[in-house]
Amino acid sequence: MSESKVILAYSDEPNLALEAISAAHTIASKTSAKVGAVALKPSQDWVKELAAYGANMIYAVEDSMPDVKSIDVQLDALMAVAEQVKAGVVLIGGSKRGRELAPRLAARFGSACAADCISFEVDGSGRILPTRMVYGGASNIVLAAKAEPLICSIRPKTFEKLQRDESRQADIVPIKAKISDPKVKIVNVVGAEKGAVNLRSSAIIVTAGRGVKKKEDLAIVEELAKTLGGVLGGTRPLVEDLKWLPKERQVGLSGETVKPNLYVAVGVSGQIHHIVGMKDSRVIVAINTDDKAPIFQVCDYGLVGDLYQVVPELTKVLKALLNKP
Amino acid sequence: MDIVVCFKQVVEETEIKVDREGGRLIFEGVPTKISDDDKNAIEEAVRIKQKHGGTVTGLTLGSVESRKQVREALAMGCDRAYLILDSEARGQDTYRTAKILAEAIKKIGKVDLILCGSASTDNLAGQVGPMLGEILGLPQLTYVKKIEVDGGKIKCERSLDEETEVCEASCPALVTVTREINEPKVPTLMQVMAAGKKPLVEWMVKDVLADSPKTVDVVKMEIPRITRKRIIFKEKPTEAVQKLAEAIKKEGVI
Repeated sequence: MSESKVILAYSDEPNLALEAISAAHTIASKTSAKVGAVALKPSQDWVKELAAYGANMIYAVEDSMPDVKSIDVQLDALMAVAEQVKAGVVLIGGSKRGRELAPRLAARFGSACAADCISFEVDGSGRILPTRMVYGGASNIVLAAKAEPLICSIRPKTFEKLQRDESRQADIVPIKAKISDPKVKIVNVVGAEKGAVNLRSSAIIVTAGRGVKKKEDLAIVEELAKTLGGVLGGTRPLVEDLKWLPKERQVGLSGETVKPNLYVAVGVSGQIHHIVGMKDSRVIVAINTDDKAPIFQVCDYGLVGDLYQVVPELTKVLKALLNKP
Repeated sequence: MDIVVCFKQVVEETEIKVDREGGRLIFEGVPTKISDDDKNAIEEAVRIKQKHGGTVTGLTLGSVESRKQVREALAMGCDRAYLILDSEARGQDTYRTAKILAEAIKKIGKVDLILCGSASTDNLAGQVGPMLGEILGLPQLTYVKKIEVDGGKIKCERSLDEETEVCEASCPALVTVTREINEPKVPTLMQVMAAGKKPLVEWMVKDVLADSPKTVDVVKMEIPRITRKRIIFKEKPTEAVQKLAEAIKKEGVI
């Protein structure tokens, strides 16, 4: 990338947009590039926020848009900005919508795309090298673009948004875009089902793995979760293969990435795929019968024992310690 | 409805061993399979055909070893299959893969619906489907957990991060599916036998695309480091539980 090129940051989800700006600054700090946020029909407040969180420029697309939630529409807008400002890199928040948007934008350019990026390096010749995980997180891979612009989706909750600073100023640049009618019509959006848990916002998570032999036995693990004031999660085999728990309870690379204060893995062997989703928890506890289980390599406290014996016992002891009935 | 379903041969990611000291992954003896979501895509294509008629064509970019997965796809119910032999298959260059698949689909002929898995289990990039749809200029619906076909239209439920989006599009269209969409059936012995007689066409990359693009290089692979306290209690259960409970309390997280 020629060093003066703009790095664009975008997401239709406010938090992910601010994380994308933060990710862009990890590249900008190693080059002389500026960070430009892309915003579709932004409110005054949103423009202020983007500036306060570090956007040097704000590219505002104000054309009439049939449906701003439509990825077809977002793609037209983003393409217009990327072309007109000759962006070197475009970083897109890695929500599901973002994970569709990024490769489609790359396909329009015929350029490089890297999904779910976790960090960026800049090498001696000014090349920007995104890192992403492969093989369920067992390995990281560092890529280099052979075609510009480099389009990346950003792994959520990986780049912390910058400190808010209202003294930061941004240039607001209006961009004209040609927005076509979307090919896909959004009929309805249904929120998460009532009673659905949000693992990502839970401070304490207790996850059940294949060590649990029957669906009914999940109650043993859930009782521990309740005692701790936390929620029950599940590994991929329990959710995807056995379907004992709904998808929103799945921790791991193809499920949720969580960072609770306390993470307790019960009967979880510790497949890399799972570890990737919980490794940044503050305290990790593992309970497993097999002392060679890989989960013990990544925990703070481990207990080798049969969960059917030790989990009810632990629940009892914790209730006493926490003065719970 | 004529359906093309794209699938990928991957290694069984749960059997990859990590050599942390050597800083490498050990692939020896690790079996291969059809990527999980792709299997759901094949199953869904077959179910749509059973209900609405038409044909199901399997398509993959792979190596001679991928013939095993191609035969499996035929046994699952594809009517015919195309294997594009490629020395660089399964790399990181998703645009290159999508471009080759797009050209192959044009060559295969009329198609009403393209189905793909939402992401392969080895790379989990989820890029080939959306790129393929974009290159072909088709309406596309990603992360789909339910498809309803109604004449020349499809209605899908998309499984997004915290919500479900219901969308409609006209065919031809591209859909990527998640594992929630169905439960793939294991082919019967009869189906496995019959698969051997179904048409399988093998092409080289140059047969579909003279000059394939190159958009990314792999600079290096690294094994991530994780450092934790790793205090393991191996005492008798009651004693170990007591110590663990106290340790958790001392951390100040409960």
